[in-house]
Amino acid sequence: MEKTKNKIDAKKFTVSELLDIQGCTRCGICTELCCAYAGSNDVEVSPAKKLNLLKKRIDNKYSLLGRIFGQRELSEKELTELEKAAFQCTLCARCEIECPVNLGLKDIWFSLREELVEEGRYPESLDMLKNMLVKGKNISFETNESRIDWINQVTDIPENKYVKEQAEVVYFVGCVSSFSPRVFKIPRSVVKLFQLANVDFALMGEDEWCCGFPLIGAGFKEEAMQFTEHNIDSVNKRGAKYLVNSCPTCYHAWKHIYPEIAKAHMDRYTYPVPVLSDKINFDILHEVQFLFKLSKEGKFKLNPVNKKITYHDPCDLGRSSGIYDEPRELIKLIPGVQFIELQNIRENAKCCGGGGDVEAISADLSENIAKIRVHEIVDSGADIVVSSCQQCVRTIAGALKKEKSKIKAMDISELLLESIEGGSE
Amino acid sequence: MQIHYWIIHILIIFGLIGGLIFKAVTIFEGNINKFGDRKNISKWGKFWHFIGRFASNFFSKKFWYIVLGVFLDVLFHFKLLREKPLKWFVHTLLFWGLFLLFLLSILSGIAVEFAPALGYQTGSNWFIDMLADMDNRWTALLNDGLNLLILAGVGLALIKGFIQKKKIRMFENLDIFLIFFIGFILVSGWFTEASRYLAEETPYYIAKFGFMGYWLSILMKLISPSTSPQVWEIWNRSWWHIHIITVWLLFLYIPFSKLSHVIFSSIAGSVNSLEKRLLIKEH
Repeated sequence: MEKTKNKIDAKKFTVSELLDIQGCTRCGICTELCCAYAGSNDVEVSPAKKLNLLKKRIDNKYSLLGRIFGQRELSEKELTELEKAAFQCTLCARCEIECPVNLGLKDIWFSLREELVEEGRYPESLDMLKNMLVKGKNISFETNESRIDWINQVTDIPENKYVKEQAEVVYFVGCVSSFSPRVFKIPRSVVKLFQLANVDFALMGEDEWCCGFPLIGAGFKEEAMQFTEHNIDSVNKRGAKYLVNSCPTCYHAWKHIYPEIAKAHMDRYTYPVPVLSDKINFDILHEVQFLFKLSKEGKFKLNPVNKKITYHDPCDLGRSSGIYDEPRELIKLIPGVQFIELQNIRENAKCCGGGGDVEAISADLSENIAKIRVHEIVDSGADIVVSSCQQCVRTIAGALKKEKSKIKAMDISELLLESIEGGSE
Repeated sequence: MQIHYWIIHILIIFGLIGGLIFKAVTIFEGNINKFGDRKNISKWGKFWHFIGRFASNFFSKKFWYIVLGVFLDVLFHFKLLREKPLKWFVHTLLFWGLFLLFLLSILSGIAVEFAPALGYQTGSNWFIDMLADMDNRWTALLNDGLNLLILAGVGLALIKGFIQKKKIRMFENLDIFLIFFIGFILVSGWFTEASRYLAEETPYYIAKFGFMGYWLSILMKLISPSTSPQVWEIWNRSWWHIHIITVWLLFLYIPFSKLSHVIFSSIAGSVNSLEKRLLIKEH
């Protein structure tokens, strides 16, 4: 990874992002609420400082003097700080929500990472992530053929393990659920729920590639393009009406980022790419939406779960996708549940620390952020913390264990299945 | 006002607009789409693309979301009020103080310079007469009242900035310079007013409405009781020049200072709040 200087290029940003960069009032509100700042107590990783350095860098290059005499580059110290701030960010978008002038900060963080990657200024661990994804098509060290190994523990599965050529619903499991044994329970629960509701569904097996978001989030937008095209084609050839995601990040990628990619410059590529946006002919849902729909249709018989349950909003499902009500309503449908809200909820929910590839870049920071959220969960007095994200469940469960808490972390599909299978006292 | 002041005024306005265009040119270096554009689009092409996009939103049902965004997020900053009431208060003092004072100056300029040229007869309209007369009690009160609001805002901003946790303080040296710059414009305005009262020997019952200048004129008179009105006239002209030159410099500095956020964050805030409201509606 060779570092090059004097390369900031405004073309890596959109017009809207550059306008937002100029529109920052430096009020500092984003800093006070940033989870990376809270987790590190290091102001250099805060959104305001990061934006300020970025603005300074752009202004240096595109100022009158910069245009005449060439860009005055930031000092090496400032550039290192910018790199650190760019990659020690969970991309939770809390800064964007809290910004009094509604600046679209999350998009700026993506573009900043892309810009820094282009300059060779990024943590080395991301190279490993990129290689795993480009070669293996998933974020683990496993081969993609083992994508549905988790299903072997599910009872009553057909010989084809639901890897079918045609189905009404395609279940997009996501890399974490497919390869992380700690959360295998999630896809298993979803499959069991689909079986119980007689859903005609298919898994894509090795045909399922990573959604590409980890690459986009790490700043490798170019490399993510082929994942988009492959995944859209794979779902289309199964003639699906619905695509159901367990992972909020995959859902966000499918729902909001794939159409963006589709309408962008696909004709730059050497291989022929039809207009992708015309090819997304199916509804994209998160499991919580689909399970809520099935529950409303009376597909499940729910037994009481007499527990105090709280809900953690995943960043990509909540702030990035606006889904707050369905998971809460779904939990409340279960008899016996005493639903408790956490202190910071919905768009103000604190991040679990599992996003933005931070776990791969700075595991300590990720743990510290999780710890803050876990303290809130413990203070709520809940017996179970439910989320709709395998990464949140994984991160929170790990942090709860470290805190020696007896609170159980589970996915909403697991809770629903527990209720159907007899509930609990 | 003499013609050369008008020429400078117009040049300064061109300078301000030029500065903003210069900044905007950088903004239009960017792409239209997040994942790059299909082909190379010129800056003008991008500009017209966004104008077209704005027009299609403006002349649609989304118009009301734009109006809502402008009122709630740009003019009144309700989000800031909810999150940080003190910050909102300081911002409101500064923004509305400066904005209304600017508006009052423009209206007064029109009433003094343009209305007579357009055949306006003094006494036909109380509002124009009021604006044209600096000694009118309402004009003077409004002027000095707004000055006081801005001064309070400047003072609170400085205090708040310095007592804020040092670690997360976002103040930069240029911001402090800007605050002092605005403060200096206010103070030079009071000196101009005070020396005018002394030069014209304005009676108490008229001068008292321009209270900042009036109190200052009393102080100046106390310090230098023997100065003649002719000398105060020289002081008045000097202060007026200092005042107007600093205002001009501020105008030229706006696009390159923190104050540029008034323009850029207003546009960005309106556009982004429209998109966010549409996302909420979608769900």
